[in-house]
Amino acid sequence: MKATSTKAVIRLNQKRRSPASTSIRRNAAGTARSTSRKPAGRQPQRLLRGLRGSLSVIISARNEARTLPPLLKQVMRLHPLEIIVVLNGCTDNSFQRTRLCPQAMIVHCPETAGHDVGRALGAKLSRGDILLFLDGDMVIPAPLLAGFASAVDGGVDVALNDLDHLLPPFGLSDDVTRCKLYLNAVLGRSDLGVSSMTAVPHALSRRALEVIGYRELMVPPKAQAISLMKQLRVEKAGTVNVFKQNRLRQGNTGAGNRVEQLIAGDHAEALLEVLAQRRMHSGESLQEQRRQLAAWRNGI
Amino acid sequence: MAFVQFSVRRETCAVARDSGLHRLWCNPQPGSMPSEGRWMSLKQHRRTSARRSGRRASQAARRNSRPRPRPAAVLPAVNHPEPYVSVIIPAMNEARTIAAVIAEARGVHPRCEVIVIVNGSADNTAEIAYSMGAKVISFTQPLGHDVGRTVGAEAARGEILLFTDGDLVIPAADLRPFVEAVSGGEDVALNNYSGPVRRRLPHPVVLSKYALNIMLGRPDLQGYSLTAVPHALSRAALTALGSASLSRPPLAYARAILDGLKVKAVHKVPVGRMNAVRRKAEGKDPLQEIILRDHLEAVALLLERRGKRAGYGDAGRRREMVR
Repeated sequence: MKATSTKAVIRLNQKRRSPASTSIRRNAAGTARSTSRKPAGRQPQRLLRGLRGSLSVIISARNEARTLPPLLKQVMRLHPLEIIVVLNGCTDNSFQRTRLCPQAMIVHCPETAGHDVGRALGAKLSRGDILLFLDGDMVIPAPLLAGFASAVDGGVDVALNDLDHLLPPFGLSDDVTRCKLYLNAVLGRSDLGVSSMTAVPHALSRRALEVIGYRELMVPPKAQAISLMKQLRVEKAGTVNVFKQNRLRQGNTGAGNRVEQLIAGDHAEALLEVLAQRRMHSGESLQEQRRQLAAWRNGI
Repeated sequence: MAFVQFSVRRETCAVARDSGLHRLWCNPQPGSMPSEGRWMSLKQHRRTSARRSGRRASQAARRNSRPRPRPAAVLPAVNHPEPYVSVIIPAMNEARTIAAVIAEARGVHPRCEVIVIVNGSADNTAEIAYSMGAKVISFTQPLGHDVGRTVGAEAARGEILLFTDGDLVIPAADLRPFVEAVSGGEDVALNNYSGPVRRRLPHPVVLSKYALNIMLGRPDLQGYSLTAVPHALSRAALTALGSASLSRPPLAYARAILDGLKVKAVHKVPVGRMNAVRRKAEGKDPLQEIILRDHLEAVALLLERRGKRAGYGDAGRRREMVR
């Protein structure tokens, strides 16, 4: 029974796919599969078969006409409930290219809205139980994306990209990395390392979105601080090497660049949120604590 | 046979290879260095007395250890009546090292006073310090971590305050650059040392120092801070910060930068390696907890002064678009 139903879905998929892409797939599959007659649809079916919740994919893009179509193709393999593409101040033909994907819901902001504003907009419009956030400048294979969605489906509230083992030694790392490490350490989650909502891909549960509030997604570190303080389940869910693929732009290269400063400011906002939640110790008790500490250190 | 002496020491051979000279093994002169031969260059025949006397030319005299300055023998063992530099040394049970620390401290400047704040010591730290001519301020109870710095700063009369610690014997040559920087116009002269940064995930204290500097808009200062000794303050900096603030170095540090004092890292003294390994209570270091909290409060001070984004821009975010 199950097998036949799967087949039916595959057929449907193949019908919907444009002939050109189908032929490319056949070629890619090679001769080994030529006898099975259904080479194209198998892989996507395995990706997110048992997903209980529905998936919304939110893509923020700025002049990504070149990478958006292949990215959308990978996203389609996840069979999401909806794809929301927020085009932020695009001057190329990103809009036309995105419209080629029939499922994509496009939010077109002709003027630049600023960093991460698109995420908040997309989150507000979304309806799914799982929200997967992506950037338009990076084509990530569907199986890697599936990991984040299925982590949220399995009960995680915030599923983050784990970049720890890709880091250089701390002395050589950049300010963004240091800010991310510090925020996690302050919140008592050093185990999260450099994982941050600043980095894509990451996924949120609907519950997380409600607890955090979609407006806060504009400042990702603040959203992360809130989710950790509100006891949401924040976990690493997989590794996508974004360092390798990140598009180098005028504003994001070199030490002390504009993006680096923006992210430092974002972390300042996050730390303010943490400080506001925490009652600071009074000076007197602190002094007493210091005295005891000194005694302890010297074995008295 | 002259070639019996071919068992030359390794390093001699290495020097010969490295210098690229073709050398010839010669007979030693009778009576000079019977166990070793001498080198003779085929290319260069430098006339040195070394060759004639049989010593090895072009090679530095070997030393078994680095020469240590012995300032105690030459420098006065009393505090100067009108000091220019005050060296402040908090000490707690440091009888083993305090004499050497004071001796080195005397070498930073001809007009200097040494102030030792002995607190909660069960050994004879105070007696040793007193016998070395230091001004000793004694407390039977432990004052608390870094509180001794405040006490010392209040007693100091010099134009420059140099802070070090009773358990670190830092050579005078490594202390002088801090004094020189402040006398050259800096307000705060920091130790150019961030702690161990070779790992991917650093020690929490190291991370805090780096993060505080980023938040303060001074990422160029890496992980330098007033938490690490030695460092020096100008009298003007002390007046601006207040001696009480020195008990919580990260806060004093943040205030120094926020007040626009001239802060510069001047010299590297890798104190991390010199520090004694302390006991830990259930794997957690309570000192670490305090340092981390002080850093967080320094961030709080910063946000209070510079606004919620610490003075960093929003890069054109139109927040009103999302309602």
